[in-house]
Amino acid sequence: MNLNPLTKFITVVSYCALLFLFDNILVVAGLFVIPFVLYIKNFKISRFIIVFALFIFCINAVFIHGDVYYKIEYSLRIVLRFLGIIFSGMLFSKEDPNEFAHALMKIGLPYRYGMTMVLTFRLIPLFSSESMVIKKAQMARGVDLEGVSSVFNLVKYTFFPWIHSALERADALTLSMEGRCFGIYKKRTFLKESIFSYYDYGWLILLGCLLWWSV
Amino acid sequence: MIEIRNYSFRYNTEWVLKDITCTIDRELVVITGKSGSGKSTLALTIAGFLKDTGEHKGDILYDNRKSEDFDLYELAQKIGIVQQDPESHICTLNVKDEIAFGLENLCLPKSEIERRIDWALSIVTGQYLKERDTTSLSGGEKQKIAIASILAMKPDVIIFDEPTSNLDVETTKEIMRVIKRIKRKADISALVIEHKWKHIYQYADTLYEMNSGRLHRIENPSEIVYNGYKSVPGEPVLEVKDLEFSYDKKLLDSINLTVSEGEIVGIMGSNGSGKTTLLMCIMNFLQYKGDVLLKGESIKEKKTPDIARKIGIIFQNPNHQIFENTVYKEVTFAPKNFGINSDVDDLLEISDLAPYRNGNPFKLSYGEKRRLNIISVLSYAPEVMLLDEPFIGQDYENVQKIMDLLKGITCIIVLHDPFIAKTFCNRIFELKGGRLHEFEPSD
Repeated sequence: MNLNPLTKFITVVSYCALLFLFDNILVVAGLFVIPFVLYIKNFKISRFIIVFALFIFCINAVFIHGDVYYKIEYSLRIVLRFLGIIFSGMLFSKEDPNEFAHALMKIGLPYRYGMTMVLTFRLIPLFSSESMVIKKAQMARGVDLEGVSSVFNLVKYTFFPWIHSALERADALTLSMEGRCFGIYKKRTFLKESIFSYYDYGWLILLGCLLWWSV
Repeated sequence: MIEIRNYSFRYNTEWVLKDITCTIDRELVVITGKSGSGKSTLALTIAGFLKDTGEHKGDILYDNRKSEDFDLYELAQKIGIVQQDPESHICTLNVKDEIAFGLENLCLPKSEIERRIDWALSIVTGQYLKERDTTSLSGGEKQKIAIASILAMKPDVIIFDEPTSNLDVETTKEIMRVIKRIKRKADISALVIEHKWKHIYQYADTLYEMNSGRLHRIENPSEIVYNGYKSVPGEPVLEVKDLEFSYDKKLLDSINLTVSEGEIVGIMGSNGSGKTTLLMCIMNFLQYKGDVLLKGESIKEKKTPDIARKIGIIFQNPNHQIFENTVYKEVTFAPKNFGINSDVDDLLEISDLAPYRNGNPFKLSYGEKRRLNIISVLSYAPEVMLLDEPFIGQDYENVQKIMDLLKGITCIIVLHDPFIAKTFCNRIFELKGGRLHEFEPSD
């Protein structure tokens, strides 16, 4: 069953709300398991997440007042909620951003904003690869990126080259988009139509009922 | 048909275009000329992008109607621009969306959009790219899609502003063949602005040269003559031994190369063959197998900052390697980081940058920025210099100035232009199938 990306987005937001609507540790654990299983079936979990989850657990366990059972239950609940949000969010991030933007435009987002979103997703990898080149150029010129002043240096010497090439790119993109009549009419055609099926409507109604019941 | 009659243009004080008269009517026109001669400004004025800026004299007529009678969007449907860097042209995530972009803006029906996508792709010989994501395309393929996205709007004229400057020789020829096909099959005039005219002029119906804002019709391009030199190599400085590197598959496979003192080694090869990767390995930005020796000592286990003192590197885009707010500070930037006292006045002088000493480096021209990059590395006198496509977007005068700066310096230069390579490089290698072969490039 392939749902519309917008339906999936609403599902993730509702899911996060549900995580906080229930206090019973068993329900929270049950909710956590859903994205967790879906995630580990397809992707690897990074060590950072595990370490960070343990860190949250320890911090809570140390600073919460109460008996040992309460401390553990409370900290576990926080960690499960945290991981639930992270895994569901990461699952959603694997969606095609193009489809998501088109779904938003389908339900009424003005196309200027929708296409800005598409453009952002188009530019993110470019900017990140540019940042890598700038960092390499800094190392090649002997900028200290390992010592105490490293973060300061990185920010100080990345800003100008980065902003400058970003502005140049913005100029070229304006030429490219206006040169192809972007913004000429209030509406535009979309070759790719975002489709909402009966499954989407059915699922959203079900989700609404669940939220209403749990509130 | 575009008719330009006694047209002049200036932004504020100096006239950038002076008394230009020419006609473009269903032909392939090539305009060549030095950097800063006004070629790109001419392209922008023809496309109507400078209508509301600066001062205009004379007329530009489109099918006998004056340019003032059109708004920008009307002109955009008549005249399309393909820019130098397709990376800054593409604004969507897949090929179909990109070609459809202009047509969707014009609210054409879907069936017509589908038809035009197929038509445009067939003319640029890119049907096989239809279902691809734009991020997965090579440089040449991206340029084909940028061209198709303009072509699909069926303008009367397409202006190509240095469309091949990021491309290797073979891809340059292919893009020029595509432009020729557009003129023939789609009956669209093409105006091509280029430095690399050696590969271009054979395709032109009419040839112009732009010189300080004036346009002259010429029959044959004048031969470019470089003041070449080749120094006599001394002792070996850099030795690359059995270097291997793989991403998902093997990109570099047992690379062996010895560069001697004062020698200039050119590395050519198609886009994506691993030329930049080889330079990144030498600098230890990437982990490789094999070994690299600098004056007999292995540098494989050393960290990049330690290697950087001995081996300088110039990256492709000049903007990515300027860090300070004045030219002088920029040149002394690396020596200061390395703790060296360096007198850079001579360097500023020989690179013609002395007048801009206290100026903002980002305001320099493209050619000046490139020279600034080079003297910013020369200022700490590394043993070897690695240069990654330093000649992109540089005209022959700038190329000569760059090479004059590198006289006597041990260099590995990644480049595409066989003529420059033959004039200045002691030895030329081609990187193909992950291996280096010494070769003699044809023009």
